[in-house]
Amino acid sequence: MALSRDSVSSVLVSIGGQGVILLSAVSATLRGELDIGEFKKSLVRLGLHSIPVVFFTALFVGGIMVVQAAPLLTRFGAESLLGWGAGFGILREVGPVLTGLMISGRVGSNNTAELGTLQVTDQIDGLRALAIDPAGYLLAPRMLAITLTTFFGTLLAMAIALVGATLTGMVIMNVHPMSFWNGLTGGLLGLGDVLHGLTKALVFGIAIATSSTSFGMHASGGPPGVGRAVNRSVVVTAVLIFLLDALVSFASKGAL
Amino acid sequence: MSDEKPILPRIDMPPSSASLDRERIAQMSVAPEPPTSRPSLAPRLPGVAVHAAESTRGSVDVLTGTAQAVARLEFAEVLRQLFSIGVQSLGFISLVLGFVGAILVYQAGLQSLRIVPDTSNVGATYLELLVKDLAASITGLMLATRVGAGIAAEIGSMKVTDQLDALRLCNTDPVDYLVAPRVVASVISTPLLTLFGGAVAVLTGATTGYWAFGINPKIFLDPRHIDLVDIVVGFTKSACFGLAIPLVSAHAGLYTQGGSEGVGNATTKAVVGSSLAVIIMGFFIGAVGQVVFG
Repeated sequence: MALSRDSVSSVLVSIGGQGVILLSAVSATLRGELDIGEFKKSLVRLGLHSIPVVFFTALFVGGIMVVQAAPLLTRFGAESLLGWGAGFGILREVGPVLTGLMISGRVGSNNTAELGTLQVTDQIDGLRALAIDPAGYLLAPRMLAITLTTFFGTLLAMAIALVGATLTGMVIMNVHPMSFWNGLTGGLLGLGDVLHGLTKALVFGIAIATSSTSFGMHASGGPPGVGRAVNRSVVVTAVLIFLLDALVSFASKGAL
Repeated sequence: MSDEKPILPRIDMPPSSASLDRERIAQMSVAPEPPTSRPSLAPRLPGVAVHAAESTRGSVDVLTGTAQAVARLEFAEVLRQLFSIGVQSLGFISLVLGFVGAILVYQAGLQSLRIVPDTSNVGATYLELLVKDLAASITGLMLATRVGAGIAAEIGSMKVTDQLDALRLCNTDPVDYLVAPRVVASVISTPLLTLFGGAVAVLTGATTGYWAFGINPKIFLDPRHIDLVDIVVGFTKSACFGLAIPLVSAHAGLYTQGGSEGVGNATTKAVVGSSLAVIIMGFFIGAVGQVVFG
């Protein structure tokens, strides 16, 4: 990836655009202009309807963790540590990151597509002409809904992934669910690990909400423009998730 | 007109949005099938299962069409797609895999210090996991995002602006011309990108190990746990992901309906569908590898 002047300026423009979107949504919420009806609708459409995707992803991801950990643990004869290994991976890293990626894929791209469609068909200017502030009516409800979806989706995904890991451990490695549970709660893992994962979920939620909304609001050029906006939005969100994941992991220094 | 092509790809195409004559399209190597011919059971099943089944069946249709088109591929187009799918993903893949490597080694080091005050195993274990699963899975997920969304957005835009019908009027099958080169390019470039991303992850992982835990890179870069099975499983995964991603996404793009909103929805469907394909295939390939060779 050549670092030309164009790509540097486009990165700066995208960061600036996201900052403006985030600030205007937060200030609209603080001024009490958040449209409650829209918020409820977004919560159902973006939140409730994402549960199946989160559910299946988490179930298989829990299974993958065990399949990958199996040879390591059998090598050391440490099947009783399966609960610990799967639990630490799921709670601290895989749960938040994969939920973030799936929600970015489903909810974030959907959000970009809708806002982008409104933008390229001039409907957002139409709202402004009716003296309706898009920040309170469109941006804030969606962004709040996406952040909450990511947070609670991650909580759900952690639980489901642990169930998936338990089942796979039982089938592939003959580890009894009770022994899995003991490894999980045996003192090596604590509330700190769950909080670590949830901190990440909150950060990822804000990142997904901000970047998907920003790319949608700045779409231009008809249907191909909407496609390009969605494409860019998911790519940038994926990079942001891994970048923020590294930042949170290193910043907490194992304290959380 | 169609005499030049003795083997006709039989792809179910969505009903054309333009007011073109159905019969003429049918003559041009495409068998249109209205989507109303769904089984009546469909509304009673949960939405996810129906979507998954439809997407899988559609992707298999696209696969058969692609397989028939491979013999008459345009090499210039394949090269162009290799550039846009392969070369232009290099920066994205190495950025993501680099961060993944650093995070994983950091977290694994912290955790293993909780149990044994010895970090000499972290490197060998990390390399094995990377070869067997992580390089292929993370690269696959990232390509599902970048390449999948790109393919669906491109083909979807062409669909809603009637360019696919224009192609058919020129006696060019969209699957031959648009999908097959992308599939071939993706199958070639995904394993190579996996290799490249894996190398980046090894580098950043070793650097993190040295910087955070003082693990000597010579001890860290210890391939003793990697065997042929791991390499075969990892390679199979990346090749399967490379095949599945463009098929699922091209299917989403070809079935785009409506205007701008349709393109957005197709892109969403492509990203979700191909990510799920990567995760589910990763699980089954890994489980089969574990059970058969374990």
